[in-house]
Amino acid sequence: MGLKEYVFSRILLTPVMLFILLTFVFLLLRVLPGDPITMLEGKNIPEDVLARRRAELGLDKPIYVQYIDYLYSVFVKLDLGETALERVPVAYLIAVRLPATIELAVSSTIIAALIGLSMGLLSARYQYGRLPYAVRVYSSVVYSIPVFYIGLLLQAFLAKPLGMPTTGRLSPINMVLADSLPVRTGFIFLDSLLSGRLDILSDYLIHLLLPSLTLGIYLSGVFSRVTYLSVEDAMSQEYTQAARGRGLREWTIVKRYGLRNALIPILTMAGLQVAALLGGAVLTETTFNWEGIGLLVYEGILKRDYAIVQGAVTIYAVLVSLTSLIVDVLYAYVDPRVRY
Amino acid sequence: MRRPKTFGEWSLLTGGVLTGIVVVLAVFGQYLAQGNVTSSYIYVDSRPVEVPPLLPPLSQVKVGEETRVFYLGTDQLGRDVLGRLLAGARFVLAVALLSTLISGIVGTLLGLISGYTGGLLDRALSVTMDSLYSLPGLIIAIALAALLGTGLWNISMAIAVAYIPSYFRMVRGNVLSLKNMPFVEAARISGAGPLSITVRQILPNTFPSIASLLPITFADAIITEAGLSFLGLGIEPPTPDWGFDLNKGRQFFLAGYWWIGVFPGLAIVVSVLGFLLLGEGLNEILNPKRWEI
Repeated sequence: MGLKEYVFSRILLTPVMLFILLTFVFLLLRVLPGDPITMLEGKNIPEDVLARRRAELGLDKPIYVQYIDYLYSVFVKLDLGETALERVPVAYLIAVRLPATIELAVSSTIIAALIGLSMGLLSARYQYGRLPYAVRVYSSVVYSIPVFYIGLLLQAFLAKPLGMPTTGRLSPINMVLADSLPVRTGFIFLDSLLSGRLDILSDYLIHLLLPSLTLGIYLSGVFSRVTYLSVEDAMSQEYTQAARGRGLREWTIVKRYGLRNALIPILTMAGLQVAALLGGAVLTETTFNWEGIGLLVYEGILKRDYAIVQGAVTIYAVLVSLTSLIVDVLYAYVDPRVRY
Repeated sequence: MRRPKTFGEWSLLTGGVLTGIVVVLAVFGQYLAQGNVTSSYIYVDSRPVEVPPLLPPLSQVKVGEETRVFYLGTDQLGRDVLGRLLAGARFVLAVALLSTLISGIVGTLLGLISGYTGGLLDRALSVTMDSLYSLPGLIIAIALAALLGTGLWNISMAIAVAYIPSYFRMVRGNVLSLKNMPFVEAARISGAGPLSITVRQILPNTFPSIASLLPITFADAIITEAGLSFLGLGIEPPTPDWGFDLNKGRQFFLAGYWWIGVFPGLAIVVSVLGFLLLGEGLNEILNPKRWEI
């Protein structure tokens, strides 16, 4: 099977994985005890109102009908229900919020990769010194700091003294201006760049710095550890010994033999980290008032709006299975030895 | 006692000391605190005295003859930060313990059954666990906690579900590699039934890996609980809870009253780090060959 066929069959597999995840979300949310309506309107709601609201949401139907309805509306109609109060389609809210989350995810992954790769490579290069211990201590400590605590500390001890903004994606004036830019994708980075508004772009980048630093530091712990471990593993192989014997410089060996062979485990880890990234994004967005899906979840929790939480969890399931698709396809490109 | 040599031994030692401190403070901490954990009043000779809000650490409050020291200051409502920290520790540790036990037991049982019986049941369980594993733990906990509501048991359940797959995958893997080992064959030939083989031959051999995973789940559970309560899905206020206090005090924290935020955060970091190091140290000593610095 060639690469094209592999990619194709892997794409076909994604709906199956998605189907399993959605089934799981459904089971989690519907079969467990608890009722979205009493959750929303209190336990003292009159019987007839309760029955009417249940019928409106289709909760009076048998569980398998609800299940088919749910799959049908998600897969076919791309419908995630409406919010309880304003009756806004949840899919719309998520679509509006998605760009902010993607911006945050991409920028924090870049930061995590920069910190993680440089720490990992340096300590693999100087593996007989103290650096590997430092990486280990760093990754354990970073793992132990809640992501919102990193965010609060950066806000209080970095942003405040420097007079940097602590919340939001843009300052209020630019937020209004950004809505009337000629290019509108929802990604402020692209919009302001393509419209030639460098003032909005720089304002945006200043706002982006702290949230992505927060999430980036949070992710960099695992990144640096896995990079070190897998590069170090490759460095102890015979081909590396041979390269050393041929008199290659140590840095060349680290880059050409260590890093290249370590790419597969690093990619695997990066794929798995997407879950951590999404979880961390909920807390980071809440800390920085960053208007992405994570903040939407928080607002949903505060308003006890169940449809929002459920819709967001569904979207997270979609994002996770899509990333795993991308990672698997990347494998095939990075490592020709991968058997399709 | 000899000095610890490897990183694993250092981890075990540091982790043990940190967790020891955290547990002792949680259990006996009430004797250190000033007492006003949930209200802004302290009682001196059964007379209520209002404590001023936002007192810095080491402030002294004179009440008649008595002097009370607020070692970590007071929060925006005049409550003792140290008192809330110590009382919060108990709730957080209880949640972490419960959820670790639930996920450990359920995950191990399912892993044993799935690995030993194999076939369709194994396939179905594995696929389910794998997809659960791919979802972020915090998201699963949020979805469940939003549904189940607050309180000790509900939060513990919500967190536990997220960590069941870790045990399932590990135990199932162990069972698959153990079930064709000579000693299991021997037990089978001598007439032992599946139940006896699973419980008496296989289960004990999975203990080393389970033992090193338990403290790590414990650490994860603390951090997930902190996340949930930061989002308002923890325990009902005014009961103290670290994550919730961090969220409620954050404007004051950012306005310069650093002790309101720094200390609850440090409490989380120290407890998580303690259990994490304990787990990593155990892992290195019980399951060698994984870390060789």
